[in-house]
Amino acid sequence: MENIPYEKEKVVLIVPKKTLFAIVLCLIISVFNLDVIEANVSQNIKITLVVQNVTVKEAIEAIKKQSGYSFFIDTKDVDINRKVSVNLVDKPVSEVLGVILNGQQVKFELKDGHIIISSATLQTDQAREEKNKSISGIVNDSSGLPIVGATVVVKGTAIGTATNIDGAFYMNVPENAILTVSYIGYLSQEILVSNKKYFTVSLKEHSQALDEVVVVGYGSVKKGNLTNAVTVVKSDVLENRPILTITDALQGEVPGLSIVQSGHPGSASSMQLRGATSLNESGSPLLLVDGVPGEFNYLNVDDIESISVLKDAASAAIYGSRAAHGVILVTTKRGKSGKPTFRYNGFIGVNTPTNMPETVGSAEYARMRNESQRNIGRADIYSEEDIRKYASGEEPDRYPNTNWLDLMFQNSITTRHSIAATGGSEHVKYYLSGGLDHQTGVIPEVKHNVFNVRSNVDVQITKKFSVSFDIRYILRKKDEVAGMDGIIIDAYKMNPTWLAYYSDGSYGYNVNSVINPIAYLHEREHELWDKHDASGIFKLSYEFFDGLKFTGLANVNYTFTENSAFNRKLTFVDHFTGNEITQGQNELSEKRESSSYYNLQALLTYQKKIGEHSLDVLAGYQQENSKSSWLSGYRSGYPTDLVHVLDGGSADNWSNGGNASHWAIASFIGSLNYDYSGKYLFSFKIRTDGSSRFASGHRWSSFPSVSGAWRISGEKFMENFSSFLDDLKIRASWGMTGASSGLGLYPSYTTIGIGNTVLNNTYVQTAYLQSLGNEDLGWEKTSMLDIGADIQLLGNRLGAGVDYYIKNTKDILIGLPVPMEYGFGQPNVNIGEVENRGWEIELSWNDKINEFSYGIQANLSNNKNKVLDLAGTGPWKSGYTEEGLPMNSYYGYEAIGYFQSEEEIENSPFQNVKNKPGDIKYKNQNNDDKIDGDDRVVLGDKNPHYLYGLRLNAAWKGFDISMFFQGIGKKDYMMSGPGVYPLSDAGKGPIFAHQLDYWTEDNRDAKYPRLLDSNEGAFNHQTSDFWKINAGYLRLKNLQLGYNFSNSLIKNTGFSNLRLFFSASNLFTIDNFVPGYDPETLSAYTYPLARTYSFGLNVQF
Amino acid sequence: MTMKKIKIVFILLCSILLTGCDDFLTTPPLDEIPSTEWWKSKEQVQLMVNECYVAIYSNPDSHIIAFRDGWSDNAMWKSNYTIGNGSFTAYDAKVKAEWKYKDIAKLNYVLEGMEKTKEFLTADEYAHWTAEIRFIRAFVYYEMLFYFGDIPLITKVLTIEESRETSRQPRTEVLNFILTELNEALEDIKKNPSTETGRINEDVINGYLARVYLYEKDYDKVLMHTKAIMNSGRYGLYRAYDNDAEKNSYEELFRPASDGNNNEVIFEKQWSYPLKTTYLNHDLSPMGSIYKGWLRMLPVQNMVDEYECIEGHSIHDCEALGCPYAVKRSEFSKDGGYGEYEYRDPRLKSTIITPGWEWKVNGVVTYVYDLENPNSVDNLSKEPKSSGFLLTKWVDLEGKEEDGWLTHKNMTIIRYADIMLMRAEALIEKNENLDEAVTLINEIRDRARMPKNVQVTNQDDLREKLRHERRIELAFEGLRYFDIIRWRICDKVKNGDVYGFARMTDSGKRENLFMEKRVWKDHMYLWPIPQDARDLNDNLTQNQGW
Repeated sequence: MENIPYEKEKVVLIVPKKTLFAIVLCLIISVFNLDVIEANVSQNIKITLVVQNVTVKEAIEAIKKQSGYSFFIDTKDVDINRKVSVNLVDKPVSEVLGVILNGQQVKFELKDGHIIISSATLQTDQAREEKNKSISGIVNDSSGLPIVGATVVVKGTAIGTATNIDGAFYMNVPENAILTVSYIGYLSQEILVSNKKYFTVSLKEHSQALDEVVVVGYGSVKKGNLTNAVTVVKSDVLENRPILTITDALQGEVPGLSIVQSGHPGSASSMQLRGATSLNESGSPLLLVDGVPGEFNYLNVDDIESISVLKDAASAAIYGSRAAHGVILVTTKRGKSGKPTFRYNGFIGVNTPTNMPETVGSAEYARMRNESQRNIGRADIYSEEDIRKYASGEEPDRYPNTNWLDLMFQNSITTRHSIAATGGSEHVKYYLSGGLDHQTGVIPEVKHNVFNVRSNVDVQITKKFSVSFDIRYILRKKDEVAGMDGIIIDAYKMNPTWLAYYSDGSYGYNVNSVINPIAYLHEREHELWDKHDASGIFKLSYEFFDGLKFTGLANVNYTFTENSAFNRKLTFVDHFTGNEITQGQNELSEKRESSSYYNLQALLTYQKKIGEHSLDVLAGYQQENSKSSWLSGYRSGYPTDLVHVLDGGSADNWSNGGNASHWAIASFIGSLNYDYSGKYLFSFKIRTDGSSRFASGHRWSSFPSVSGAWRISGEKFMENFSSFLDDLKIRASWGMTGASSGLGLYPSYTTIGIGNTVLNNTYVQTAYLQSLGNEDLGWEKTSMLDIGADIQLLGNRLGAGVDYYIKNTKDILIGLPVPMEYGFGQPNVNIGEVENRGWEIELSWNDKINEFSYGIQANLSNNKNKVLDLAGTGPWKSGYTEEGLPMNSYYGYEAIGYFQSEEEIENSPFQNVKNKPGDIKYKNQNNDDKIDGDDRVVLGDKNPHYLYGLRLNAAWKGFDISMFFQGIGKKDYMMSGPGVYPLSDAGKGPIFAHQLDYWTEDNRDAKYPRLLDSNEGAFNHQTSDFWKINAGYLRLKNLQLGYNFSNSLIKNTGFSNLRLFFSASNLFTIDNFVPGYDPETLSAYTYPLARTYSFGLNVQF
Repeated sequence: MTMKKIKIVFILLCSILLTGCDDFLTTPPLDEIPSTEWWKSKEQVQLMVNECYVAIYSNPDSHIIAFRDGWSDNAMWKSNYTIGNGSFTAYDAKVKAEWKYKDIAKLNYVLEGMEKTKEFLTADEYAHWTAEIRFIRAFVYYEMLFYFGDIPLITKVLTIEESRETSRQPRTEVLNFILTELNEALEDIKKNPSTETGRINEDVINGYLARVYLYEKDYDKVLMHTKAIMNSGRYGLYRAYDNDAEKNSYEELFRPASDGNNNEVIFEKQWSYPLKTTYLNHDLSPMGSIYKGWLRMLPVQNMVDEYECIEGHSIHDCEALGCPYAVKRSEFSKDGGYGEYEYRDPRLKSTIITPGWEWKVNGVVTYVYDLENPNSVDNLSKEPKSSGFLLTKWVDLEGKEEDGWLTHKNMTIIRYADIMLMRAEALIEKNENLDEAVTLINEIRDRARMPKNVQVTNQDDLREKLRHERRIELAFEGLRYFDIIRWRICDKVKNGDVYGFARMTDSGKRENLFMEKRVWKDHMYLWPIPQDARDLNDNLTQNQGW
């Protein structure tokens, strides 16, 4: 028996033959349908069908597309796989069907807009049709859980019922009735009753490709009707993965979105969408959660229903201000009526450093340090005897061999627990959740705990009036060593001849290293940081009459941050002199910061459908304001390190501080969406924004956008391709967005600041010009043209999407580079124009062979940044920016190898009085007698190119595996820091193993120049292409294995779903980077990314 | 409603909303004062004038006064060797730090703001306050002029367009401006005078005019302005400890206790006694001291050698003269001792920490600077950049700060000994009244407990004596670099190898530590125009040779 369930837009979905569903159901009906809303079909619809040697099924599909009829086929009686050829032009449907079904013992009839094809022998007399029969059944979701409150209606009648708490229904229906089974969030299904008495209906979740509802600005739209470049990431991609933050989840999933992770627990990753637009900032997208800004990165990932990334200006324009860098919308899960269900998700993971650089041992270090001294004519620091002792390790306290990075970076444990409950009645639905994340990186002393609770409640008060009330609270607790970043830098700068621990286990004292970072890490300063973040969204909607609805929204977001850092006096004992050395003092700094944010929205929406025309209009007003302030206090002179409140400190050494800031934005919003028959889609939006950052008279600006799409596959002339082409849509959009934030909160104000200095041997107050405002400042504007196409092929197995865009930003808010002689820094102006052009491709293939299903999703994007106009002020040489080139290009010398001899230095243009053979030789670009600023050229483009992500997944029975690769194709990067400069920090820094390949008389084509400590070798470290590499990389970001226990196995456990998974992240990386440094975090000296192995559990009950 | 009525209502509604919005959208900064509320009272003027003092040595290195000796033959500035050894370029951060148009703009802004205050200030108040600002502006300009030669001369607040038109003006033009400003300020400063220390008064301006005229070789003017200070009777050499066997007045002049309490300092950069605001102690001290110092100033052997023996002659002559120093030196040096630093001009130990130096607090030794003991934290293998010499001048030896770093010592800009030496130099250069010159020099030597053995000989000999005395007396007060530049002797003193102390080698003999090779080229008499400044302003030409 063939089972083809009702599927909107999906033509055929083959379900395994022996499902429970199939066994119970006697008469299986296949249904083809166009849309939920019945089309007003003419009885005499004429169609054209010219096909050769196709199956009956395919032919009927084509008829369905042209006619708009849906079909019920009794596959028991009809051979739908029979091959037919048809050549009929402009004929009635009945005639065409007659040809197709010719020779089969079947009849077809039109009923309630459906064409029913069944055995010709079946009785069809009126009396029989009217005869009632009693039926029963059960409605399940795809995981086998009963659905409570699903409606079962006889189509075209008022006969109906709802499923009870077990998902069961009982009713009397006319024979040959069609049952419509529906439930919110699921695809409706239609069933022909025929002579069956008991039904098991399995509803599929409403998440299939084109009917997927995509959340866009101030509303939602069916994915198939999108006219914009929007990428959606659904919860199923986020769930079942051991991720702690949204940015981790989005990395590589969204073409055009570049994410750079931070390994430091509690530090958010940075994001950039479709290239850098502005000349003045990196430009993070606007991040909204349920329509309002708020904590994004530390939301409970399990609460997320979907994430929409609005990339083109037309979709973002409705957000006007702050949308110039794109918009990311997060929608959280909401309650579903029915029996309460619980879902638990948890994992435990072990972090290990990804790839730490290998340092040379102390004997080798001493030898090289001596060589670096000899290179500048100075005497050896270490004697042969010293070096011998370093090598033998015989006096470990005096001649240590310390691997600082090993001591610094260690394994640690990360855990996550999250539980959610959902349920409710017809009128009140709830979604409640709590989460507890314990985040660590590769320094166990740095901990970040995130505690999350959420309550999303929807109440239908009357038929017309509904409210929803969402409250969420996030508590983030960081517990770490104060100045952690500084300690990491210090650990990278330590050399192996310094001591971390004496052999008796006490902390080593290294006079000249200033500090012992390991002692600092464990003993010195401790910082506790708590951030309370509470947000409430109250939303009410009232429907005046059918289609006209008012929605009001009020959001308050209050954050309170407590910061307390206690510094302890450390005492070291020098083991050789017995001296006690103290560092630091007992002191306490406290800071309290509070910030409140208010967002009020009033929206009026009107939706109307007249025949094939649907119209969706929105008008609204929104205002936002925020104020934050802080207060700090400090005392020192604590007699012990046991008291951690201010009162415990000395009353004569204290200080305090405090400040406050505020801003406001008001906006008028309007949008109009029109679609004709789902084929021609058009949308117009406008937003007018006023920002407090600008002076009165320059505050307001309007940001319009238009977009349109044409669903070509809906046209008749495409029917010839309908056998393999499921959907084809082309889209185009143009829109404008704005930015106001590039220059801080008060760029239009000229202000006087208060300071102090010392005169007459006492502090005196002073006043000075703090900032020179520009009252003419206005909005920075970005317009974007986007052309795209979406296609679904081969039974929706192959999907593709492409986009090309040109994004143009002008009137950029920037501190203009002016001569230093101007004296007031860089004046605030609107200037210039920058273009970003790029393309994005998404491809996916999903298929199923018997019980084996697999899929490939790939995306690739590229963006090219170009400065179009600097209003005659360019090129800007610091942060090199020139018209026609990417902004902030690398600018410096072109290296042409090494000086190989004194004669070569003598005969070359003058570089530096300290040059010796083995130094980098720069190219003389202007053929004068020296290398100076005029010999600099543009060396490269800092922007990443060819961002890609590739996901491979497969499943067989309960097992599944997925692999996610992610990377960057090309990016110019200038290496710097201790990773490439040996003996950094004026000779005190370490030497890494890869730095052994340095220039000597016998190694003239070395990787690095002659050995000098970083101070002495500064002329070799000038910005030059010698240090330029391609920072592209390919990384296996995540590998995951999972097992879902089958329903029969867990039937008696009380669980409806049980899944175990193992995951490994950052498993391997292919790159051209300096060994030991991560191409993703880029810089040396930072908190390294972790490789995490996790084991997780996901249950539902 | 007709369409028209709807329109009117809509427009009305919008305008109401928009006006309401405008208030909603007005959010002035909460921690700053709008400039429209400024220049309205005397108090505001006073606050603005106070801020102008920040422009005096506004460098990020707050101890630039002492550090500048690292550009000269006196010392090396640790981690900033380039200007000292000749390898600096237009990219050098220290060069850029002296391009002080930020300060100039700030001063011009205050001067223009003063125009709005005439209605409520008396003429004398106005004159005095503008004189303070104009002096500071001239002070900042003269340093720039000295380093860079031709420089843009900006005397008002510029628009963006005007700033693009700026270019370098001839040195003489800028110098004339500076001198005119200083001379006018000298007249105005006398009106409504203030007695507060650290502030500009007529003595400060006279002293600074003497310095500028000396550098510009206008010796008559030097004599005139030094005379004005001498005749004021307000200053003299600080000799508070002349009768104290343990302490000497020269050394105590550079300890915090002398702040606000001596008659020698004419102008100083203040660091608020008793509040502790600078890292001076930490910057200069030895690693092993309570300040866990960073050794940022490394005096070199050549500087140490300049200090005479206690008898008052060059240590190179002692052997030939049969001076007791030569004998005692070899006695002390037996068994690895540091005899060469004993029996010297007392100013050596008041200024420079030499190997074996003992930190004494109330006569008790709390720490010994020991470079050759492997257990010492100052051991050479632990700090190979060390020259063996550090500074004790400016350091607070009695400090016991909790964090061991902060201090509060004011740093001298002009003091009476400098006035005396300037006058002596002018006399010698004019080759007249040489007795007065000799008396001035001997008086300074006497205060330092050195013999008054300089005698009237000839101009060349006295010039050498004067230059020696200036180098010793004013060591690490930021003047040596200016002296060797204006005397045009850099080819001799800033060229070739530089050494640190003589350390014991494996052979059992002391050998001076090689520090670095210095290169001098005459184009270095002027610095390069900073590359960053040239990158932002195409009109700025580069100095010859750079």
